[in-house]
Amino acid sequence: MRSRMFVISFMLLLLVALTDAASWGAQEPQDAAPFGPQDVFPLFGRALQAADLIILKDGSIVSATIEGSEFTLNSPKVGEKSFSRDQITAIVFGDVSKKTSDQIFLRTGDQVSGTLKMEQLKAQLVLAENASLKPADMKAVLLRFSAEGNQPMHPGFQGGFRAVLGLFTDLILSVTKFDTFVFPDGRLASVLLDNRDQLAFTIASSFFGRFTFTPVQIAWVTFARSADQPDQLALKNGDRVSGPVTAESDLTGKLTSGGAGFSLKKDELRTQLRQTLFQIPVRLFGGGGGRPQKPGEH
Amino acid sequence: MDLRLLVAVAVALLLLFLAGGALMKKPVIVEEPPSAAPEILSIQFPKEFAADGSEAHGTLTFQDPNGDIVDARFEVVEAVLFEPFHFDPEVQNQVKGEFSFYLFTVIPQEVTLRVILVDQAGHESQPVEFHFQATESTP
Repeated sequence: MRSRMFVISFMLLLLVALTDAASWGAQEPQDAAPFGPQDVFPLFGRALQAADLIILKDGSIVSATIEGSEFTLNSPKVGEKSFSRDQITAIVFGDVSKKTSDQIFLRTGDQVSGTLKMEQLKAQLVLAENASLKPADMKAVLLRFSAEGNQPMHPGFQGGFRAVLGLFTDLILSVTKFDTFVFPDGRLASVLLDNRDQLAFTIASSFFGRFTFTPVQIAWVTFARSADQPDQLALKNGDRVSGPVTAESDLTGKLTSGGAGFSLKKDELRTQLRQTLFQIPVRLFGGGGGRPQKPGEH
Repeated sequence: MDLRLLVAVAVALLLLFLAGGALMKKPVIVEEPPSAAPEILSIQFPKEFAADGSEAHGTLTFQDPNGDIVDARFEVVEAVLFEPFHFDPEVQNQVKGEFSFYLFTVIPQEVTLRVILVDQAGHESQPVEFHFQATESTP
């Protein structure tokens, strides 16, 4: 009788333990919220606080330190006038095919149109040496935003930045069209990766085990700022997993803006990059779906 | 007598032959069945909505003689950044009716979409376009 009770008690305890263990796999991952535009928009604000940002005609972007303390525009209305960097929000280059002129957007919200006195723009690009860019190759330049004595940056570009909302759209387009590096200080660069189809990242999730994903599947990889925090990997389908992330190979390629190539060692990625974005899906920023009919509803 | 009978039979056979040939040459008019493709009757959708990621809802009214629509396809004609999509509106066995859809965007832009309904046999409706403005959302 006593041995029978012991066996029954043991079986009950085992049943409880197994049920509890089965529930482990059903637990929500650490970061269950699906990624969305709210994860992408702040990137641009941080980039503009870190450095100037160049938008190229092909839609790519690159953070840079642009040489020159002032820019001169020959305007039909005001004649030749120079503006200092501190006065300027953005410079938009004209398009001969569209018959548009150069424009300087000021932090006051004013806008001046005319012809820029600029044969080429000298800048130090992230991941590259000094470069000279022709206005014909650029769509716009957003100058580094300094918070000193100015309104705080806002993703909606309040105050003097509202005029350049169209450029904000170009920033969004760039991350859907190109792979993007985000550096620890917030700077950005569109990149063309070599052997993209062979790249892979492995994440060791404490809940789900080890998985390997490719850039086709990955929206982005975020490397933790400190050793006590997990890396994060977001997939294009909206799933998100936390855990140590390792690249299966070095990242090599070149900036879309041209210039020398780069090579980032796979073991040094987390010190050299904050995030790697792999062509964020367009549907994140606009799309739709259906509302199926409910049974009996006509 | 036998000869006259033979001639009569021969003439009859000849007449039958000629009549049959004429009948065979008569054109056969095949009536085409009515179109089985679905038809979009109307699309109701706001002319503008806020580009803040919230959903804007619309309604599409249709008719389909076979009641076998299986897909509603939304193609992008013009937009800054908008993903085309499609879905099954689940209106099986309905020869006339409506279904709902939603759109969203976080990019202020003008968008023109083209909608096509597809039935189980692959027949496509005539496309219908509609246009809307996603306006900048006030922070």
